[in-house]
Amino acid sequence: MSQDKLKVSKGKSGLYRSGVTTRRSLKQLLAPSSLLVMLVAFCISIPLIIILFHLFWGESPNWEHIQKYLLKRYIFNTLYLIAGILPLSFILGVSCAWFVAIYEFPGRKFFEWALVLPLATPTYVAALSYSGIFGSKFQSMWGAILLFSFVLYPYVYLLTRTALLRQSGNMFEVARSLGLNGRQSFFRVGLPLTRPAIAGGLSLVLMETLNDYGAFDYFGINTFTTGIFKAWLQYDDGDADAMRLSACLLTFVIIVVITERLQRGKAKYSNKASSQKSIRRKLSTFKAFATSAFLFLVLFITFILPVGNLFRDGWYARELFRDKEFYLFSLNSILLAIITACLIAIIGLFICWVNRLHKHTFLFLLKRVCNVGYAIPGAVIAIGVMVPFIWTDRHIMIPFLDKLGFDQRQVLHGTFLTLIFAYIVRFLSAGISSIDSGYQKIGSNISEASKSLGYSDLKTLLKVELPLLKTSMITAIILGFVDLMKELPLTMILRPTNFDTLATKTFEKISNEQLSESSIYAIVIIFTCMIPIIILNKVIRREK
Amino acid sequence: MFKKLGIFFGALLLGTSVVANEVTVYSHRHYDADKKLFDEFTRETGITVNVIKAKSDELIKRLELEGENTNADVLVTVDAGRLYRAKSKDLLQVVESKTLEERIPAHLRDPDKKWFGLTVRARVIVYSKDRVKPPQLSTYADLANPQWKGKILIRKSTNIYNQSLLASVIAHNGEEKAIAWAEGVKKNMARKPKGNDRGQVLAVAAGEGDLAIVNTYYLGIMQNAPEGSKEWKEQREAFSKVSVFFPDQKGNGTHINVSGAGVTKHAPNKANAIKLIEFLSSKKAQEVYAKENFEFPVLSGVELSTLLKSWGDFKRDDLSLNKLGELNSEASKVFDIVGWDN
Repeated sequence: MSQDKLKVSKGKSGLYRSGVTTRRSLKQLLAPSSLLVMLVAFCISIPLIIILFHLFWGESPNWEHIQKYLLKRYIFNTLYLIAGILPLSFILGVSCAWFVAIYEFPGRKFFEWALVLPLATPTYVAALSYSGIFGSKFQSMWGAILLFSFVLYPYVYLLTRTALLRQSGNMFEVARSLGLNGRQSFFRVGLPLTRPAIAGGLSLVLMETLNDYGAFDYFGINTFTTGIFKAWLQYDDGDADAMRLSACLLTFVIIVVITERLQRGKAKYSNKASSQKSIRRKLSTFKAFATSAFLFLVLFITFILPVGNLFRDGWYARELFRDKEFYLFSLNSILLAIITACLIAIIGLFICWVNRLHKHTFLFLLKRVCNVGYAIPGAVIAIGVMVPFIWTDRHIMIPFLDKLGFDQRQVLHGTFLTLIFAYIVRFLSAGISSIDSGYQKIGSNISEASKSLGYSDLKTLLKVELPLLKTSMITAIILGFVDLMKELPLTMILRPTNFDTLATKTFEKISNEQLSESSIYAIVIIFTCMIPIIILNKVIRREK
Repeated sequence: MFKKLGIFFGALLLGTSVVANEVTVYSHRHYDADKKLFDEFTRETGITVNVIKAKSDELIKRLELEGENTNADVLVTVDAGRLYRAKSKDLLQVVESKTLEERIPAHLRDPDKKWFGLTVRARVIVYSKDRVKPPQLSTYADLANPQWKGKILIRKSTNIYNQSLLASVIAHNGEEKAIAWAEGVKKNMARKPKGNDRGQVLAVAAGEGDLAIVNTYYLGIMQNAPEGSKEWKEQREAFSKVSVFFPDQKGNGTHINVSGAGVTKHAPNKANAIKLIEFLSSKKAQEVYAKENFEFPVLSGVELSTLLKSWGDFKRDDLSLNKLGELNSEASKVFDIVGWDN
């Protein structure tokens, strides 16, 4: 942002608005595109409003019980887990990113993409697989900490590596020439420069941890999210209690997000990608070998081992590949994920575009609201979505169809529309954050130039910005796709009749303890996620 | 082409209601045997069975939110307590069926005719043949005695079967004693509760503890695990190292529960719903439950699997199953009070 400011204020003419002033004119808010964003944000926020409504107005009959016997445990467990998972993901993610970005050693290119792969494993599948390998002793707090760090560290790795590559490689050359050794240049130059990226990665790890249900349930660890399920489903009139717990969780998340923003405030990215190809340092033979060995060990423990175990278990159920239904579930999952991921990218693009067009504080706020879904457990969103859809059916759709002579009970609810809408609420932030960072990278003077040459806003978007945002769009679609393929609680609650995805099938077989069959479904999830992750990595690298 | 597409999307939007002769089931049962029975039902009657499988709590929630707009006709749960909950939330309707009343003994169905038990499960003690002698075992109450310190394996408090067991303890002895009992069992646990019933049996076989509290049908599944994978072999081996004890034979009898079904209050296909439940209580279906899923049938005269036969007859706790539902919330809270899962 600071770079944009610099460029714009130095720009050749003062005709165009500066990139950073926030305007509060009403006219901008009433532009059709702004109104459309408001509508989208309104739809997205309905489920959130319903949750908050319960917080303030619903009675919470079991709250005293929860406070007395459960809340402390939820807080303690959640903090304990975070205190273990964050440092461990930090160590794994940052060290891998540092080695891969700065040094040259055998197999570097392979590790560059392979280290992202654990992201393809859903946590509930990893829980199953590691328990299979290490036995039930693994089902403990420490097991959970290891498991989550193993599966989620790629978020830190990916963002840190990107940030390191974005720094001019010369920075480290200079550090060297000033007499810093490898370790010193890491602590004095690398770490401070990539701090925002590391924090961004860690906050993703945090959200995923706070949101998880399947793995903690399997391990028997009570966290806020399992507590929400318990209150919601098992207590008489427990809705309000569940909502209140969700609100506690949400407050915590908001505090974390704000803290992350604040610390980022001072250390802004330099937006200019380095034009010079960074020169990787060659390591001595021994060190190069040791680095490869370390990275292989990380990859082995976090990916090869659990997936290998799935293959071993899955082998006995290989008959499944002859089952027609099996392909149906796979196709269901993939189609649904692709369609929804594209929608997420398009809506994300639209919101970011309008924000850029009008730069109004209110619109900026709406963008933030659309991001919140990522912090809310899937099941909670499911309820928030179900309520308004059933209401619309009951009061609008059914009476209307009735007049036309159709006898219908469910029009919107119980269909793919509900499911897709809920997915969008949950994962829109994948779209917004990718496109946002894309827009930041291209800066604003290109668009200004396009407009000064007579292109309309829309034409500028389609002809000038979109081609430049291609990478960001692909990133948004892939991030969305991977999250959607793994999604479980929301799908379980909202899916139409007779509809199964690979995730619901995997979970069904896990609860049935048909480990071999669940392994096959899990393998298909992992491999379908692996391909786009590899593509994503290529796309990011090419951009460098 | 466009017309076809229109029909396709129309069907997609309007869901399954395009098909006329159908019945929609919300089921917590996720066994292969059930799928087989539904297929058989369709073959016999031509009625399509639509299924949504999820935990009963989630299904009840969904029914509640859907209200009169639900497409669900039948609710199937794995525990009477949840059927009671659905009933008390006014989600089920009265079913008048002579067939069901004849086939299902009165204590295994709702006196108000809103739900019907389809299979019976007993919650028993499984013990290590090497380390425990049957005369050492007696009652559920005994499990809270210090002699079993560090020996007991049992799953989490969120599990329905445990909640119903504790509800029965509350019903028989009152809440205060139930808290003391749960505290005692908690102190005797060999490890923090985790895994499912089968996991507890495996842990006994592995020597992590001496006793496990589990539902009977899991043992059948373990004994008959197919050839092939390592885990199935483990299960068969674990089975051979343990034995079953039916507690409270001299007292109230062993705690039992049912997996059962009810017709939803706003069922669009009530007649089909009743047909389906009647089919599931028929001899043919009950045999599938008994032989393939090792549950006790509710219908008398159905041949049992060898394992079930080998256990012989046992005294069952005749506590009203609705009582388990009434006390469910209380039981759940008692578990919290004693910190069962911590």
